[in-house]
This record gives sequence, C-alpha cells and structure tokens, in this order.
Amino acid sequence: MIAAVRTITVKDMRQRLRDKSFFLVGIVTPFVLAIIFDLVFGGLGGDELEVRAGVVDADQSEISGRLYEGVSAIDGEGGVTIVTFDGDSGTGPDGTSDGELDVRSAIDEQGLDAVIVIPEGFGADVTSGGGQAPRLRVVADPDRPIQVGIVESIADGLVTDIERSRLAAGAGQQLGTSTEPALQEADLDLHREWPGGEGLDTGSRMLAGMVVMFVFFTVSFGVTTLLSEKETGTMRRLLAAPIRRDAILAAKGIVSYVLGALATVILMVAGAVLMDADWGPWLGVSALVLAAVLTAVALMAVVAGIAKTAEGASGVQAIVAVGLAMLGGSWFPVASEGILGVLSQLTPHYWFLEGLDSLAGADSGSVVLPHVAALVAIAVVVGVPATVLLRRRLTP
Amino acid sequence: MPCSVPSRGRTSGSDGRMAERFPGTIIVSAVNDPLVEAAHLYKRFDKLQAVDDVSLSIDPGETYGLLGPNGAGKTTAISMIAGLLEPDSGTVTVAGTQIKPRSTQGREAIGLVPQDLAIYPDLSAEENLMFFASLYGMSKRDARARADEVLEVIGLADRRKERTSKYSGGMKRRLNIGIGLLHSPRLLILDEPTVGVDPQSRNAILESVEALSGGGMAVLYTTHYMEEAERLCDRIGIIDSGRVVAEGTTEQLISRVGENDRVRIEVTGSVDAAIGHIRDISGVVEASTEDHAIVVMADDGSRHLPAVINHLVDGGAQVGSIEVTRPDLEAVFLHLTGKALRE
Repeated sequence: MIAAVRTITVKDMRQRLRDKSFFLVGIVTPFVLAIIFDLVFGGLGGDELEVRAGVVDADQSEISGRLYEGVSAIDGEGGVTIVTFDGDSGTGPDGTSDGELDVRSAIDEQGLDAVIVIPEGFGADVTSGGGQAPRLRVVADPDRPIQVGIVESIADGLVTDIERSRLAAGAGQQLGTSTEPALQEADLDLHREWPGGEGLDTGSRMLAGMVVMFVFFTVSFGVTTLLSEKETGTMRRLLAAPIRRDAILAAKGIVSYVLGALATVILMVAGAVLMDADWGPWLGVSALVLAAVLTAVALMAVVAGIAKTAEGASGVQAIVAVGLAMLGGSWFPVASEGILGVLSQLTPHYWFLEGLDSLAGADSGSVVLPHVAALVAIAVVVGVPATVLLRRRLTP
Repeated sequence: MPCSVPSRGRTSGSDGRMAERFPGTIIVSAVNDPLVEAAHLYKRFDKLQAVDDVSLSIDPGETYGLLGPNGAGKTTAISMIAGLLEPDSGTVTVAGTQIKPRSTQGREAIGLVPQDLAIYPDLSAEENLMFFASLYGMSKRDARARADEVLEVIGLADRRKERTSKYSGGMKRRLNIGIGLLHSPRLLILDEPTVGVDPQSRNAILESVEALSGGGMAVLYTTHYMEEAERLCDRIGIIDSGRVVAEGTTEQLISRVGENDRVRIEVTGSVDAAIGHIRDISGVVEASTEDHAIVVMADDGSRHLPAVINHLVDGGAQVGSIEVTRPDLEAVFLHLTGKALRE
C-alpha cells in the first residue's frame, strides 16, 4: 500500500507543480492581494494603523468624567490620537441632531475617523444598577471603515466593562451589600483589541488572512482530482490496478496537504523577508500552519465528497473558502461577540489568525496550543465524514 | 495453469505476429481450462437491471466479443469482470483467482483499456507508462524496459517525451491500449477501443488486437460495430438489455437464426410480369419491389440469381446493379431483439 501511495502521490505532485495554477492561486495571488489590501487599508510592513478619534462628554457626571479622562489617556498609544471636546462648549454633541451635525463638522475639519460621544444620562444609567443599560455613541467617517471599526471596538470594550460592573452592583444591592458601580482604570486596557499593538501588524495580518483563505483553494486542487480522474476515465485504470483503493484516497489527501503546507510556508517566509512580518516562535507557527492546512484539507474533502463533478466541486469550494474567510476575519476583523462571534469561532481562519496574533511577540510557541487544538478538533470532526464520503467516490 | 511472464525477450506464442508486435509478452503454456469464467452475473442500478444473468468463459488465446448497442450492459459486465464493480450476485474467476473489487488478488492477470482516453494529458507517454507500470509492481528497470517495448509497438517511441495533450486522437488511442498491455496481462479487456477513431487508426488498432490473440493472450472485446466483431472475435456474445441472448461463432450465430440471403436488383421498366415467376422459383422465400429495384429473399441468393435475371429480362425489364447480401450479425441482432444494432 505504501508503494502505491508513494507512486500516486509523486504523479499527482508532478501534475500539480506543472500546473501553473498552483503557483498563481496558491502563492502569487494571496501575496499580491495582501500587498494591495495593506496599501489600501494600512501602512506597509510594520507600520501601525493610524487612528484619529475624538471624545465628547455630554453628560458631565463624575462617572462620565472618569471615562472621558480614561479615553483621553489613550492618546499616543498604539498609533491612536485622541482629540478631546468639551461637552459644554457647544462644539460637542448632546444627543440631539444638531449635536450630531457639530460632531460631523468636527470629523471633517479635524480629519477624525470617529468620535466617541458620552451621552447625557450616562452616569445615571451606570449608577442605577438596573434599568436602561448605559450606552456610548460613535459618530463615524464612513470612508474610514477599518479605523472606525477600531474605535467601535474601543467603545464596545468600555461599555462591556461598565455594564459588567453595573450588573455586579445591582446584584449586590439585591443581596444587601452596598457595592458601588465603579469605572476602573483597568477597564481601559485596549491592547487585546488592537491589531497594531502586541499582536500582528496590519500588513502581516492582511497577509495571514490571505494565506489562510487561499490555502483552501490550494488544497482543493488535490482532493478534487479524485473527481477529475473519474471524469477522464483514469479512475477505472487505478481501480483495476492491483492496489488497495484506500491508497488512492491517501495519496490525494497527502498531495493536498503537502501543497497547502508548501504554499503557506512559502508565503509566510516571503512575508517575513519582504514585509518584515514577525510571526513569532517558529515552533508555534509551524504547529499552527500544519493544523490549519489539515483543517483546510478536511473541509475541502467534504465538498469533493458531496459534489457530482470536479467543476461543481471547484465552484462550491470557492464559495466555502471565501465565505469562511470573511466569517473568520481574513478580510476584516469580525466582532467577537454575538452570533457572528460564535460563527467566526467555528472557522479555522479565526483560530489561525488568533493564534498568529498570540504568537507575535510571544516568548514561547506554547501560547498557540489552544488554537492548534481547536484546529485539530475541527479537522477531526470534518475529516471523518469527509473520508466516508470520498470512499464512496472510489467507483468507476 | 497458463501464465505469462513479462519482458524476457523470447516468445512462445502460437502466432509469430505476436513476437513481432509485442515482444515482451510470453505465454508459457496453454491448457484447455478457460482463462476467464464469469458465472451468473447480476447488477442493478436503481430501477435498471444493467446486467441480468450474464455468464461467459474465454480460453487462453481466444478473442471473445461482446456485441450490443449502447446501453446494452457491455461496460457494466466488463467492469465486473475487471473487478471494478461488485456484482449483486455471481462470480468472476480469472486465471484461477476469484476477482473481487475490494481485493487486489488476480489483478495482475488483467489489462484494461477503458472506452475513455484514460491517460494523463499533462504527462508524457513515457511518464504515463512508467506510472502505471509502477502501480503494477514493476521495478524501475523492468518498467523502463517494458515501456520502451510498448512505445515501439504503438509507434510513439520518437514522441515519448511529449505531453500527451499534444497528441492526435489516434495517438492517444494507441497509448490508451499500450497502457493496458504494459504489464503483459493474460486477459486484455478492450472496451469499445475504436469509438471516435479515424479509419486508419481503427485499422491499426484492429490489427494489434488480432496480433495479441494470435500470441496467446485472451481478449475480451466490446463493440457495437458488427464488422469489428466479425473480423476479430473467435466467439461472440450478443448482449441486449443486460442479457446475453445468443453466443457462438459468427457462423453459428447466423445459422442459428437461419436468415436468408437478400438479393437487390436495380431495374428499369416493368417488373409486374416477372415478379410472379420469380416467387415461383424453388428456394425463393419472398420477392418485392422497392424504389426502382426488386428485392428477393432466398436461401442461396447467388444460386438463384441467373433464374431471377432471366425472368426479369423476359418480362421486358432492363437489369442494372445487383447486390447480394449474406445474413450478418446485424441481421442476427435484428432477428433476436427486434431492433437494429445501432439504435
């Protein structure tokens, strides 16, 4: 069986490497797209994404004042510039439409990406311990979606922390304790939300996103040949030969895996050399890459097992690859909460990108173990039915 | 039991043509046991009974033809014989080994030439051959030697390094057959190998098959061309709707059906006076007119032809071209199934 697997693998590898589409789709396209995205949405290489945000305190309460100061203190960190507005001066909003117009004027005049507005009644909502949840408003420049997304992430994080504190206080009151809702300095820790911080820089993240998206296309070349062999008639020859049928399946899987790993490694090395990408400890990166490619093979194999023709499989595989990439954050950061957050965490892209984010600047590759475990779990869950489905394809 | 040994540089085939065309194929011995025995094969796909109780046996050196129209069950039957498909019931034995899809036993004895051009277009002819030789367990040295021989035989030696995507249809067909011969099988299964082939390539393929059977290799040949079956096959099984409706040599099949000769004579002038006399000739079964011609069905058309012509001339008609058609497999098929072979 080993000899047959080796023979078919060598033949398939020879075919795929002669096929220019492997280099074009597997290596050139993701690299070029990453560079284009980086040019469009951020600086090249290790440059940080520049964000200019404003903050307005329309509430003027003690709690809103502390929040206002906390946001203001971010100024200068991680490429963020904070411009403060006085809520009483008339230039800042108070929740009315006129106020919004003022903020919009400020965005245009001062070149801001977005403004965080602390609305009137915010402090009262926080101290009430129940009733209406406190809310922040973000007024955005629609032409700066990435930067706006970052400002929204900051606001979301703040509100979540405040809401947690408020609910705890409310629960305390019901239990007869006298815990006051508080806004702690620690609530303003922004680093975990920040692509340009300790995690990957923008250019590297763009490349990583493209790498994990296009590896799905690359591995699909391997498993889809199972259908191509049926269509061209060579499958009849393979089945007539004195080899075990599982050898055909194993060879197709190996070819897919090797091609995917090869393309990924080439792209990541190219990213490190040409874009100064710092992927982190190589052992962790290797484990992450190998696990991600395994997952990609399993997912594309399921599609190949269901599809009737190679052409049909390629179409569905493209939809799956792009859909999962968008959901998993290959294109843009995806909200980590709600249904979208849950769906995102079901994609290998999410775990791959999160893993790389954790690895960048980490001292040890072991930080990526949970991500690798998640990827392997997805691969196993998907791989078992994929194997069953593909074995059914081993017919003349 | 007979056995074949690949590539030893000598032959013991009963026909010298084999030694010329396929020097690597050696049939060491031949005994009377059938090489192939398929017994009571059944295969159903959903509502279609594709193969319905097919049994056949093929001796070493014999060419057996499965003749039937498209959709008759030929490819399904040979797929079971080649071990590609699991029969619903029935057994296949080749060279004493029972063939099963999930087992590799006995596969070396079978060479398959699928109807499709089952070659890799982005590989060269040599690479295609080396790949399949490796799958059949041949060492690299033996594979290269055997590939060289086969490339010579199929006339592609000088273009061995070219990718097959650049080959003509005929060249691809020849390579398709060459791959089937590569491991010197004792049974070669050819599934409609001449479909879509130009007349010159078709003739070359037919000559190759004749040489193979002459060399002692058993050949199972499916076709819906009766001329090919008549020319190549020692015995023919006529298959229709999954059943072998008749089996035997061409002569046996024709005599079994008992069809008459068909004599068609183009005439000018009236045949009304002559046609009654022609019907009265002993041995003439039927006489009728058809588009300026008279058609006579008789047990021996050539023998009765002078008398028929005399009656026509005496009746005032002028005789043009004459065509005598002996009963053939087409007529047999029509007789047995009620439909034409190429419907």
